[in-house]
Amino acid sequence: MTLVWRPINPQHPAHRRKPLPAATPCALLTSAPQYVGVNISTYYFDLQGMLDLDFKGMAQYKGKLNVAFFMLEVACYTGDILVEDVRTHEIFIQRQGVGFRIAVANWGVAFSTSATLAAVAANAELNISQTGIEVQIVGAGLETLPILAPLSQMSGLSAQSLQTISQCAMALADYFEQNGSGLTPAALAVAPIPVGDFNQFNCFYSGQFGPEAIYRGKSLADALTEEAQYPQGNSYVVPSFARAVYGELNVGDGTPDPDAHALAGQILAEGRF
Amino acid sequence: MKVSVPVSPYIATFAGVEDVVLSLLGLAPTASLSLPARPPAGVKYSHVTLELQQTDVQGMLDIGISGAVTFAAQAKAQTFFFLSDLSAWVTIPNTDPTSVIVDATFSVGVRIGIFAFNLDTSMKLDAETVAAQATVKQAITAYQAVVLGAGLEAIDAMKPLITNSTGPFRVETLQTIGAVRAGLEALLADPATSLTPVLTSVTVDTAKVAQAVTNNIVAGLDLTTLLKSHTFAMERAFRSVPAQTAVEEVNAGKGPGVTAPLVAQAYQDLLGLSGMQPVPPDKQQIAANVLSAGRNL
Repeated sequence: MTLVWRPINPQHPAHRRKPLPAATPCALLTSAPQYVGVNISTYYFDLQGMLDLDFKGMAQYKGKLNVAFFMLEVACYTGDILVEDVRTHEIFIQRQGVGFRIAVANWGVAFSTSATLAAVAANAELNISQTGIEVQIVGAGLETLPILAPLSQMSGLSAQSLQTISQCAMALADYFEQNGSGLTPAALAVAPIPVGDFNQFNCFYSGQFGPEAIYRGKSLADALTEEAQYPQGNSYVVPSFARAVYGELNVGDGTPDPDAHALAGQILAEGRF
Repeated sequence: MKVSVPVSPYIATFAGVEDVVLSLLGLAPTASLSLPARPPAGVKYSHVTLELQQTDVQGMLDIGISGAVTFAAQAKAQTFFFLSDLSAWVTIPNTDPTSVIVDATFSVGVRIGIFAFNLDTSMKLDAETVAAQATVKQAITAYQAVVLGAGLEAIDAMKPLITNSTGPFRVETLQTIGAVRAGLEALLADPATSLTPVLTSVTVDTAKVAQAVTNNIVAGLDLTTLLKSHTFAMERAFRSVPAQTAVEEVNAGKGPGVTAPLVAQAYQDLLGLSGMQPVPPDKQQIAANVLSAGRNL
């Protein structure tokens, strides 16, 4: 199962999700506890993505040439829960926590020279590119803390501000360890659960897909990656079933050898008369 | 055949079944996907191993590094992905004999996803070379760390590894990883520390999968026989052959490796047909759809 985490804005009405009550037939067990230290993630977005996350100040960079947007999230997570999208009734895993988000707009250079925040900071330092930043603090009880005050004083991204961010991340980790229970976590990101309940058609389809892919000499990773570009078929393929077929025919993670090719051919030839 | 399947750590109650490994949903009926076993307290872990392997965007997503996708899309150059796993693990047998899961591996440690471009690929690409190229500013790199399990905050070296995350992957980063490794070894050796590992992979028995999806109607069934029988049934239905005729064909030796009861079951479960009922065009289309799987590859 591939979970693609998407950051959300806890205040945005379209991002609102309903926690599933503990008594429903679906509940996430607490067997996957979180590391209680700090986590850092970066996301690369377009302008709309930034506005959806409520970084309103980013709108002023609309129309700049070669503008790249990053979002850096420094957070301590409290635990994942299952939630349901109110409109589509899809089930998501939701990650909650406290922390801060920094939006960075960088313009005037090609992406290849500004791919990482360190590169953005270095370019800005050398006056090669220009940057704009906006800071959000997430989780009630955190806004007024002096440890995070240096964040709001940053005016652009530089080597100095990277250091500030790193120091604030450390301070946040220490604070969370001692006072985490007094903070109110906010919803930070969701990931849809991309698998469904057992279904006969998908089982038959995946059982045909596996031998066919092996017969065509594809490794499992290549077959699944190619299938992902083919929506007519992709929704029926159960990746774990395809993996079981690859294991059964002794292919595993590699590419099929002549023996596997022959065996797949035998399976596919059944009933063709 | 026993097959190792990497999974996300989520175990949940799903559709009334407890302890379901969510990653496996759809593999077999949900009741056969349970994993009630958990590592006991004081369990002995393996030694800490550090591996670096080249992977693809999918591999990055699997460990929770979503940023890699847009990074690759925006870089417009060949992007290399590496996955470095610094962890200790323990494998325990499943306690539910009806489950397709034979055993499960729980791990504790750090996974580091590294993305890079402008790499000089004439050299052997291992962690040291990638870091060295980034240090001399030849290659552009970024890394992101994902922590597996809980209790690791006791390792002091962990904080710099995490707070510099998203920065370049340099020689200094390798030194930090070395320090984290020493810290993790020390934690594991100390009986007083409490580490909570997370589920990282399971071993699935393909014969049990075949038995679970066919509701155990054939004793000792293996997956290859199931695949052959399903293909046989679909090919015959596609040719408008009624269920009973298809079964007689198997009994007459026309389907080597095919089991007759599974052919009858396939007609019934997928097409709702039995006996000498003719195959109407819409059912024939279902068989054609199944047979088209993977032919676009």
